[in-house]
Amino acid sequence: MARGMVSYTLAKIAHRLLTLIFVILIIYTLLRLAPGTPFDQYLYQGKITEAQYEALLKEWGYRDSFLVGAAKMLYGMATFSLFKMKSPVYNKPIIDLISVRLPYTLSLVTAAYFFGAMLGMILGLYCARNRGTLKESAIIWITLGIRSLPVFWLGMVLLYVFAFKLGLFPFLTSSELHPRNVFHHMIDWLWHSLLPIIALSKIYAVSYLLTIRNMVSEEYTNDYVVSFRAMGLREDYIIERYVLRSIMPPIITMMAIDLGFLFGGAVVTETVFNYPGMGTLIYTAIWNKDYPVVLASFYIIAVAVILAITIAEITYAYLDPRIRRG
Amino acid sequence: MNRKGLSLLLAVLFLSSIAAAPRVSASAGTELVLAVGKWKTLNPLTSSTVYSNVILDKVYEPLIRWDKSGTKVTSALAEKWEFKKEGDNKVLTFHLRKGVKWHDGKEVTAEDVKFTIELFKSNPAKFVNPDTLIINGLQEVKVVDKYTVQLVYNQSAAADKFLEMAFTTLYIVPKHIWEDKNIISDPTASLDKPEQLVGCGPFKVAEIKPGEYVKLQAFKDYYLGKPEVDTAIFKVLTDKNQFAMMVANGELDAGYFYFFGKYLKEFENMVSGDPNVKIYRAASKSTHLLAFNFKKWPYNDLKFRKAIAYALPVDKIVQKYYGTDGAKAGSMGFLGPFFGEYCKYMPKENLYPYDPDKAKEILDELGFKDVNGDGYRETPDGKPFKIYLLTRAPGDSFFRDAIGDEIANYLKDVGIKVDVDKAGDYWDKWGAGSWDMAIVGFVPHKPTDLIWFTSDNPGNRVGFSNKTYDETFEEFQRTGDPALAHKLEEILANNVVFIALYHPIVATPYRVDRYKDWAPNPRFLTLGYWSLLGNPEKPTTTTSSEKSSTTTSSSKTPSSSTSTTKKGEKGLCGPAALVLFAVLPLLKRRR
Repeated sequence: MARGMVSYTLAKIAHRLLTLIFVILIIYTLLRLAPGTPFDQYLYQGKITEAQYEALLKEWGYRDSFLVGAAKMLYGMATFSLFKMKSPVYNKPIIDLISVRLPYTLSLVTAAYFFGAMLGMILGLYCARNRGTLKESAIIWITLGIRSLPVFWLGMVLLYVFAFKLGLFPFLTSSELHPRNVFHHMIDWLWHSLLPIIALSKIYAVSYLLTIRNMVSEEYTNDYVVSFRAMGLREDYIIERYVLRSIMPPIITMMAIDLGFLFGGAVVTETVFNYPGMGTLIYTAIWNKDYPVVLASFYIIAVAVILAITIAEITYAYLDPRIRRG
Repeated sequence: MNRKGLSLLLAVLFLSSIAAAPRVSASAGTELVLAVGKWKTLNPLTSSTVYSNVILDKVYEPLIRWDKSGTKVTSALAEKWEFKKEGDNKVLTFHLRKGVKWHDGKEVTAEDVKFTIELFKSNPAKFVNPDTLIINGLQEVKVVDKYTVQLVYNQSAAADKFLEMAFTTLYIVPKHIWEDKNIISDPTASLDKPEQLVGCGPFKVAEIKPGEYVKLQAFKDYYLGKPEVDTAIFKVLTDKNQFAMMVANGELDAGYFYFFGKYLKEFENMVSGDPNVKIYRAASKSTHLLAFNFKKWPYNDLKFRKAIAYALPVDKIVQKYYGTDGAKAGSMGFLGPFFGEYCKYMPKENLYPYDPDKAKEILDELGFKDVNGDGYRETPDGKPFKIYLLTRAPGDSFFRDAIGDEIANYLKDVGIKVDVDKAGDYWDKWGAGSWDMAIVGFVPHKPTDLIWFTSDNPGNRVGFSNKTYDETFEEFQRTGDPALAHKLEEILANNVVFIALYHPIVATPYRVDRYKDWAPNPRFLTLGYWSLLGNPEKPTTTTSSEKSSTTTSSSKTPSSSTSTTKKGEKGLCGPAALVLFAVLPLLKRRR
């Protein structure tokens, strides 16, 4: 049994590594296909000459052939030296750029993720338990309505109402208060980030609500639930003990994927709220054709997603021997 | 703690977070919160955005700067300067002010000036902020004494006037900081730490959060005295609507953002009745024009370009979107009225007035006729003809798209089909030359930017090439004669190299409740050097406030270091609180 577990894990890891290389190659190809370099603007404004432009392109590897460039990037990723490479736009090591942004992104997106997922799950369960009632259809209708609101629009409305009209929240996320203590700092952070958190958590809340509601409702149609009810078990007990357990694996996968994507930030939300996170970094890097920064960011996201999925799969292979045996 | 207590605590926490003070009032003095757009680097030599230069302009000093009106040069670090002829060479001597101090207390000397100029000369491809005219024909930089520096140029140097203008772009950096590898390991790198950004300007950098804000503090030893503004916080903003709302409700005092047309009307309605909001208006030096691709037929045919010029009522099109006071008609000679004596103002309607019949006549003459009867003209050899028009540059106002549609409509009237491309990859297509006509914005900073139309200039993306123009430009750059500028502009106008559209008249709001002495000018609008300097306090009268500012500056370092160490908690506590909120219903649930 233990050997089965080990070979299963090894096979999974090898498979994931291939996926990772594939993902990076696709992104690199797309970048190479897009025209332009970070130095075009200087050239078009006549700030540098054609010769200087060519020299810059050579220096920063924009004139490398596709294979050489891809090999350099992959080598950089394998040895992690990619993060020490410099961004041609900022002329600064990538690690310096990312280490400033990552805490912002993680705090915002993690908060939104937990807040949204919890809210979605609780409401989803509530809906499933009140299937067919007026309350349920009201929640579902509202959810579908919220789901169709674009995040950037919701963000702007939140800013307009709460920041401009009511003046309750600040427009920008920068906190300048020098914190007196940890608790004070926490409140300040929350005050500055609550609007983006609300806007972003909407995505998680809606998707978890609908998924959980559908899965639990489906599970309710199973005979075992009917017989447990007939035996007189309490509804809470049935849900906690049986229903939730049987729908756990797909939910774990869903949560794991979302967890991995936390590292990518949220481009739209960050842009609307001027939040200096990974999303805006990646966005501007793509605009500027800043290859190393784009690749390093996607590398982090890909590794995080793949790692999260792998851990999830290994976890439930451990929980459920049937999966391990294939 | 029981559940009720916990939920009560969380509720209190939530409410207190909402009630937290919206704006920290400054402990002493005037604190302004200003908005700028995103910048890539604050390195004074490699910075390439107007936003970083707005900030650097307060921290560093050039040798020569633009005066309060923004049109004439005046002394900055150099108290006076003179040009001398020595044989074929031109010698420029700068006499520096004595006793000017860097923010760390060391004196500014001729060595620093020499170091900066030589550093710039060593790698002009990377140091893109200073004007290359400074090193054009520069033979030698000589330190005569502690306060005198001599620059020897050969005969290819630019005219004296243009050299003076060029020196307004060169921020002098301290040699002792820039040579210290522990502080600045690579002078071409992006700088974003206060200890790297030591200048000698009226403000010193107190705190930087990349992508968020820069906090500047008045430098009490500034040679003109302590500036009137004590603290200036430059916040990064990307959205005009947010800027409008923040100025309207007092969260911002001013910013490098502007409105025109209907946006301005909306903003005026938003703040109507607020006496604390003022609006500064100025004709922008930027010029928007309809360019022809000279590398393609028939755009390289003067007759065809004239036909297009006759087919478009530019004044009507621009007025439709900018109103009568939102834009000034562009000049067919490129430079606008902003450039004073160098501008020969030639609106298109004066030279090529709207005359669709004349346009049709020329097109017929060229052989563009509608052969197949579909309402659009075909090429002389009978192939379908269509103009591919690029309109939108990223981050631009939506008017350019609308104006593109308008142009397409008028050209349809004379039988020409136009494809308007509003995609976001404007710059890539523009650079690659894969366009027929394009609406493009140029921001000339100086008269010598007429160089963009010389044959081998990399900025010349339209492909216009004219020998007389090139030769005249050479002479113009060397002599600075405004008559030659007029000659150049006439060549452009006679050749219809582009169709001038408009110079937008920008309007930017600022608040006067916390600060009154704004001195806006067309260069940096409300955020110029003179604006924040106000009426500086002379050092002799500031002995009492001196103490307080030294204590704040010394306490600055520990407080900023605590904020960085707290960053970890920032990422944890907030989410933790939110998780608790989410768990609340679970805890309260009946078991």
